[in-house]
Amino acid sequence: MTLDEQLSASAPPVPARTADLDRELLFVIAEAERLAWPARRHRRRLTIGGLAALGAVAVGTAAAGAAGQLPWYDSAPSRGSATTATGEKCDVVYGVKGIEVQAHPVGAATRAAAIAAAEEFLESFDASSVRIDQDSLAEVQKLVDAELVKQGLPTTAVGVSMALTCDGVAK
Amino acid sequence: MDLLAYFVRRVPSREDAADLYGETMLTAWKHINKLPAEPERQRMWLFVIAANTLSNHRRTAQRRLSLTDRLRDVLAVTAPTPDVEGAYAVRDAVLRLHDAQRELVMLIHWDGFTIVEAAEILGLNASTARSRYAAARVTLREALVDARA
Repeated sequence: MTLDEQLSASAPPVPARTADLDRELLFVIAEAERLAWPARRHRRRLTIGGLAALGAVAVGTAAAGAAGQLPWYDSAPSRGSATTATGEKCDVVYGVKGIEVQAHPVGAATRAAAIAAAEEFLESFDASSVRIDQDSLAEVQKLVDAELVKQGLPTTAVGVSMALTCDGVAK
Repeated sequence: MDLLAYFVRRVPSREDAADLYGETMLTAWKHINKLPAEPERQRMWLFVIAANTLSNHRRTAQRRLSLTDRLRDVLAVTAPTPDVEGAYAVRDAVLRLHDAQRELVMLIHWDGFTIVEAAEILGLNASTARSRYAAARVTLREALVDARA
C-alpha cells in the first residue's frame, strides 16, 4: 500500500450514515436558517437546498418529516420524480437563491430580476427530465443560466438549490 | 455528512461535533449571500467557515446549542463505520505531526481537498502549504518505518 493510500485509509471512523442522522442534519440546517434569518421563515424562495447539498444531506425517505418542517420545501418552484442509475426512486426539488460573486457585483434590482426570472423558469421546468446523479444540480444550473443569458440577466446573481427524497439511504 | 465527519475527526466528543456542525450552519446562513456561484467553490466556502468555527472552539469554551440537542442524541447512538485494518498506526503518526502539518494532511487525505484548497482553508499561500506538506510526508515516512522496525 502506498503512503497516499495508507494516509487516506487512516481517517478515523465516522458515524454510519442512517436515515435518522440525515433527518437530524437536515433539521439542524433548517433550524439554523430560522435562527439566522427569522424574517425569512415564510418567504417563498428556496434557500436551504444549496446548504443542504453542501452539508451532504439529501432529504431521505425517513427525513420526510423534517422536510415537512421546511417552508421552502412545500412551495419550491420545481419538483419531479426520477429513478437513479441504481434504481432508487427519487423526488427531486429545485429552487433558486440570490448569490453574490465579489468579482462580478450585481445591483439589488438586477439580482431581484434574475431571481424572479429563474423562479419563473423553474416553475415551468420539468424536473423529471434531468437524470438524477452527481451532475444534476450543475445541469439545472446551466439551464437556468442559459435562460438568464437569453433575458440579458447576469448568471452570477442566482444559484440553483436542489434537494432529494429517495428510497433507501439518501445519496 | 462530510462536514459532520470533518468535526467528528477533529474533536474528541461527538456532542461537540454536533454543536460545531450547528454553529457552522448558523454562520453559513448568516452569510448565505456570500455563497459562491461555482459548485466547486461552495464546498470550499463551507469548510473555511468550519475551520474558523473549529478554531474558535479550541480557543473558547463552547456553548451548547439547543438546535443540536437531537443531533447529539442521534450521534451518541449511531454506530461508527468500520475502521480500516492497520489504520491505527498511520493515524497515530498523523496525529503526532506538528499542528500546522497535521491539519494539512488531514484536509488532503481525510477530507479530500487538494493542497491548494487546503491552503486556502487554512489561510496559507500555496507554496507554504506545499513545503509543509512535503515535510509532513518525510516525517510520516520515517515514523511509519520506525513503527515497523
